[in-house]
Amino acid sequence: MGTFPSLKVENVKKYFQVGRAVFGRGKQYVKAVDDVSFTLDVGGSLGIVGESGSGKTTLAKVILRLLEPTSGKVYLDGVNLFSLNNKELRKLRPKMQMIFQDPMASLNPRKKIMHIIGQVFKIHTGISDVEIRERVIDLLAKVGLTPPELFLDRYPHELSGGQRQRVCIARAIALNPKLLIADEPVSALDVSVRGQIVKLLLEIYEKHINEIAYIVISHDIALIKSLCKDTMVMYLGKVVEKGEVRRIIEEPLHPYSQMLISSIPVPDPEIARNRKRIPISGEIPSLINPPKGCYFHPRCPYVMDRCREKTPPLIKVDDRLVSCYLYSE
Amino acid sequence: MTQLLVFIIRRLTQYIPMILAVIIVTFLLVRLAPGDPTYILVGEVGDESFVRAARERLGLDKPLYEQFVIYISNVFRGDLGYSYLRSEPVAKLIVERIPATLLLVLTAMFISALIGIIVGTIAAAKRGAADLTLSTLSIVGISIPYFWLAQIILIIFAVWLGVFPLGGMVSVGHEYQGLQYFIDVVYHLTLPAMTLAIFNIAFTTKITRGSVQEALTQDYILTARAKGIPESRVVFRHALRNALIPVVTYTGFNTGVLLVGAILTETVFAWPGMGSLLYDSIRLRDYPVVLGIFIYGSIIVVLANLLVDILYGILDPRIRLR
Amino acid sequence: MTNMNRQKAAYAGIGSLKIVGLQLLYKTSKSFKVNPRFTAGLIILLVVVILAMVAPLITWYPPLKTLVGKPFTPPVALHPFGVDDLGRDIYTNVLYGIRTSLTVGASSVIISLAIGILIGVVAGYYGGILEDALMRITDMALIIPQFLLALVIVAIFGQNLQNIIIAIGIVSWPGIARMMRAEFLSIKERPFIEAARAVGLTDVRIIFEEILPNAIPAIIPYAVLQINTAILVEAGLGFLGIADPNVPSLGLMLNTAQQYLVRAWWMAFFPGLVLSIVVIGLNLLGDGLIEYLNPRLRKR
Repeated sequence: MGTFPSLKVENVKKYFQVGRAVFGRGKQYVKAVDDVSFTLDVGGSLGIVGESGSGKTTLAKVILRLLEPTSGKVYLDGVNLFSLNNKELRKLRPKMQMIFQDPMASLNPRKKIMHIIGQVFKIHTGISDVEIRERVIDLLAKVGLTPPELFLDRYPHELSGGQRQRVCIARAIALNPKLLIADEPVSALDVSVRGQIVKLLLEIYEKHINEIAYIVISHDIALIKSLCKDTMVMYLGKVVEKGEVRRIIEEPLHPYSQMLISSIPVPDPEIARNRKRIPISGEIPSLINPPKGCYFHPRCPYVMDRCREKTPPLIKVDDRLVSCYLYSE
Repeated sequence: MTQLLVFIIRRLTQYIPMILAVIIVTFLLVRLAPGDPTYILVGEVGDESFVRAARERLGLDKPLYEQFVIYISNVFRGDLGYSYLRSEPVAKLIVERIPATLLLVLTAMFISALIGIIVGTIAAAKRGAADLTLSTLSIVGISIPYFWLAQIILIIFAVWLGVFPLGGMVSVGHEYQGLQYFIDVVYHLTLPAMTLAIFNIAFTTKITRGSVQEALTQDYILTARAKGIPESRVVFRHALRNALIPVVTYTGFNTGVLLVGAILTETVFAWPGMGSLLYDSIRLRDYPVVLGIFIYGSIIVVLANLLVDILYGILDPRIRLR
Repeated sequence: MTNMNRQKAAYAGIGSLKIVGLQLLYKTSKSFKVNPRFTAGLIILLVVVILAMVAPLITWYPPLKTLVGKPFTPPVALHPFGVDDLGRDIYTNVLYGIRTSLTVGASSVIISLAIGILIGVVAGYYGGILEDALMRITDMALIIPQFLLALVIVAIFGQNLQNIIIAIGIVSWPGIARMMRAEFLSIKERPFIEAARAVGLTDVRIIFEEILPNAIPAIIPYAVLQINTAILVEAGLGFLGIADPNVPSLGLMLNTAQQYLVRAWWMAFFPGLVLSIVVIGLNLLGDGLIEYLNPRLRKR
């Protein structure tokens, strides 16, 4: 392990320009990611939670530089990803991989599995075709696709959803990435299959815990709980709470976290009856015109005057970071 | 109101370069061709000294960019050159043919739109077996080369059945006036217009059918039916209105194709429009006229498209934002 | 081989042909039920192509040769399609004319595909100002009557087959470019392209290995229809008298026929009929291909 944290995200912003600058109106932006910072060490696992539109997927893509950031820096093992040129960036790619939301859509429908996974080796290593085949077979076995030889010549549409996701995972871990981001890894899958994939992800994580830093993105906090140690709650592009998952679920501090947590089905009817039910109210406001001050204040049951004025800073409260005036003076 | 104005201005700036492009292309083509451009512009008349004099007069010995400036200013003044073969300015020859072509094209547009709308609406309302026959017919309709179709129609109706005249716009030898003249022209117009229309009908029918079908699924049609309005009125009054826009705009945007079709059809029926002028000029190797028709034809098409585009913007406000 | 063996061989040959023929018939009818247009078009086209290829075998006069028969003879046994004004056998010239049409069609499409795909790909993939500029040019080129432009080009540069092919190829690129760009835009957004970028593929590789193969199902039917258009343009040019005089051309035959419509209807009827059949066949094929490839894509 180096002296730097594996991943350091510093004040990353990603704004999309919307509409034209017409007389009197000026340019408008969708602030998909609005000043997010965090660090992740080797062996660390971070979950990013939020509703759709919270900017979590955009953040992931910006971290991997699949989207160009509007501002900010991202350091992977001390290297600022945004300062690299295209060639250097591409060389670094195998070290930071992503598993996308829809396994079917992220595989080229016209290529065989052998090609899809083998491509990674072909581009970044100089090994022979025969060796590539060996490695692909190894990978397929690792992700639970056995017998691997059978899958080499298949096309994505010939596999089941769960199998496709395993292929995506295989492709991602092919060259031992230092950073692995899983974006809604199971939401596109049948409920019955989800457990298997979660188990697989955990296996891989535990096996490589000394080399890998791990981010999971989901709207489902229960999923995050089973996969990650820490979590970050996002709302409209900003981080509102960050800390250990277990703790945040037990005792959510930010009103938005409370809203999310209270919607999780809890198996024990006693606890379910007794917990505070905060119904999810309102809808996510438009990303083009976010509310003034704290983004959450229109939906917040505890809203105060100062919430409408300025965005609360992210401060340390007990064992986590929260952005809410309820906890700051 | 200003939104509309902005839209119109935008469209104008988009279309004017096209006209310029046409002129530039024509200019370049003549100069790029193998051999002496003089021959192209002058034809094969005259001897050495005549050619030399012509070259000077046309300014072909001047540097390229000067020629271009002269050329553009000429075109915009309406001067497309001179046809040495026929001893007339090209522009004059073309302009006196335009009305006939326009008459043919507009009539054909109108007929095809009318028939297309009627048949398409009926097809949409009836559905079922009519569909397959219709789609097969439309494929056949757009496949048959219309100049051949024109010839066949001419043979059948004019030669064998003798119902319609063999060609031309007016009957030779008679000097009709007024109403008789009108009828005479219509008599001659029928076959060419019908032929030209057939090609377009396939498209207009398909489009009408599609949009009427879509309109029929809308809720306000159900309400109309629930109100007890008879089916035919439902279809024709209500659904049709929405179907009109695509047909009109489509026909308008298709002007280019129709123009080319008109050119070919005119040749068959000896209709005295731009088309037969082109045909004759090709035969006689009168290239200035050929080039002139290209420029004028293209300009007409561009203007027609522009007009329809603006019309579309007026009719459908959503388009104005594009 | 003895006579007996020869007979046996003959019977065996005919027998196996029967089996093959029946199999073919079965497959055809099944295919016809599934996709009538495609099958019909394919059959028509195959027949036409075969006829064109074996033209020398089934004609008995050299093409273009004048005075092989008495001028203005209506269709008779020796001249199934009649004889034209200069004594040429129409049947022969029609069959050879098909060759010309198909050649021009296919060759010019290759040219327009090359130009159109290049422009469409660059515009679709790189976007931005480049795309805007290229698309503006494409839109302009689309409105200008392609037929007239081709006409002018051939008229000026000389009426030979090469020029005709090049001219038609040059004026037809905008349609393809526009279609390619649309395809590229839609495919570019699909997640597996992003995944490819995440894996680290270069732009060029992404274009050729990921996007293009997925764009082919859209290109093929379009190319077929484009061949059709090219054939019609060539015929139209020929009809106006712009053709290579040394090559049999269906359009040119219609041009000659125009003067004698009253006297010799067969001069116009047969060339045009055959031309129509070819075009209809290609149209059906193209349409059928579109239908065939679309549900497949949807299934995926």
